Amino acid sequence: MRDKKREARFRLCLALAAAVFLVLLAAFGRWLAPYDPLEVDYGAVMAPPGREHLCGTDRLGRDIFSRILWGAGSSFFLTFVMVAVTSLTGVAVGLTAGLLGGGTDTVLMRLIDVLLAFPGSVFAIAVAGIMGAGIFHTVLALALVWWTKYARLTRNMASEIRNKDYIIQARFGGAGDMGILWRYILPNILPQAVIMASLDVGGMMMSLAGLSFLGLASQPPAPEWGYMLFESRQYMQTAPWMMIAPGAAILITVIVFNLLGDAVRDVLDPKE
Amino acid sequence: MNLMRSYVGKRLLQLVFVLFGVTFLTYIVTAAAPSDGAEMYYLSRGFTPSQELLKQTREDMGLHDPLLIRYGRWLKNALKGELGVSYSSGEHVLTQLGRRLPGTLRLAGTAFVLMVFLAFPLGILTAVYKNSSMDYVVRFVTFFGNAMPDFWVALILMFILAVKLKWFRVMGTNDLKSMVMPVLTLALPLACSYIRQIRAAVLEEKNREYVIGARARGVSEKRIMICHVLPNALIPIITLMGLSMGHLLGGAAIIETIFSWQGIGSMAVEAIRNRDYPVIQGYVIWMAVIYVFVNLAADVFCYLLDPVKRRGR
Repeated sequence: MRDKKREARFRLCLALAAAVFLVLLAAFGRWLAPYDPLEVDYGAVMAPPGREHLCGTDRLGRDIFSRILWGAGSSFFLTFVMVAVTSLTGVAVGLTAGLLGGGTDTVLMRLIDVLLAFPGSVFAIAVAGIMGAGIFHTVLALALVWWTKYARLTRNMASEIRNKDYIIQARFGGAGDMGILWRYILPNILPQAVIMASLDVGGMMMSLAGLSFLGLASQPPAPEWGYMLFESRQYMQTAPWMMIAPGAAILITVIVFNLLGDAVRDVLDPKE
Repeated sequence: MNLMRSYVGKRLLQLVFVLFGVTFLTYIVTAAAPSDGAEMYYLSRGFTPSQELLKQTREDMGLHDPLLIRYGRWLKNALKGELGVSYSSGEHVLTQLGRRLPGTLRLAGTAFVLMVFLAFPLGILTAVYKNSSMDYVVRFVTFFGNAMPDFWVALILMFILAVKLKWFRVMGTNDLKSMVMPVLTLALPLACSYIRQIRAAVLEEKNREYVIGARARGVSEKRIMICHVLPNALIPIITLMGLSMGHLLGGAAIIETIFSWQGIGSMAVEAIRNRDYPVIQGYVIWMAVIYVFVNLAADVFCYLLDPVKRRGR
């Protein structure tokens, strides 16, 4: 049992190191990029990967490797902001519903039912499409759907814990509502929320990439991984490297954050 | 059985509520949109209307009325089965839904069957032969499969099967042959995720105390697995699969668009691009109905399989 815990901690350290490395790369990548990501070079249109261009160039001769490094910044930033905002909102709403119970609980839970009736990406496409494409609308749309699962998790845990004997004991001992919330309820819920959030990073990144693939979340010519993949589709026959590098960038990032999420779960989960 | 009936009744009541909610929500979103129905009506026909014409059309379409009244009017028509007419094609929304639905149903059904045939055997075998070489290979592959965005899977399949091997054409025509790539794109990532979940569920169940008890009584490993472990481990998985089926039936918007497949997902994306609000509203209703019925079906299924619930606790 102890060995398992230790092994999980070791994995957590490794995954954390890899994730920190990626985040640093995303934050400072623009200074490492060999070319300007927007620089058009008609002398090197769709050049295959080689010495000059590590991952080749696209239809306008722009260096793909540089575009990926530049695109990483916005991808990572958006993903983290989204996960943070949705998880915090979800936990707050879930706590409110679970602790107050009664009418508030019913209304909030029915609202969540309504939102859950849409598959997340379709709802985001709908909102982004109706309100007009653009980062802000897309992000808003995704956020509207994603917070619900945190709210459900928190609400179910809170309403279960609320009537536990030790809470009643604490109340007899003179603990106030806030005291109970901070001391007994949050410590039970937070690890689960953190586990969910860290497992969500990869999924969120893929959802955002999917929307920018549909052209709903990006402002070309700005480099965006999803949109780069969209552009590559037309040139699949002549320049297949255009779709390799952005896809691989997403794949590597998602793998690292999935490993991190798994490790966080194994370390924090009290069941183990 | 009485318990069951009241439960189903409750769920149907919930359906009514969800339908109100989602249609109203889309109404609010469309009302907040920068362009309204009158403008889209002309723009999709290819000319820019004058201000007077716009005003007149808005009057005719009743767009000047308050939001609630407009919603009420739409609802009244919808209850009579009239979901309106598409702005861009002039076709009735129900006709359009009916035309696009078979494509999605074929895709979703085939992908689901393929996924089930991959996920159950591989998931169970990797759990039974834990840490064998097969287990490692499958775990490795599914781990990657889980981290690949589905639209990238689609592009790679296209590149290998259509560009390199030339087995298929890149653009689909909704025939049997052009189904292969979208079905694979839908089924493979889903299978990857379920193989891992089934493996984990079976392994967890195998560690329960009653399994040790059965072993001590001399029950054969095979019998323990088939009669005890599998039924217990797989019930939650089947519920999850029901939800996945719901998502598939909603039409995989991105995948259908990539493969130019005539389904309900690509219809939604087109409608959204054209701001074709009546069609979007029709799609939203379809989604809500699916969501509630799929949840209901999954719950009923669990109820029938789970003796503890059946006895009414």
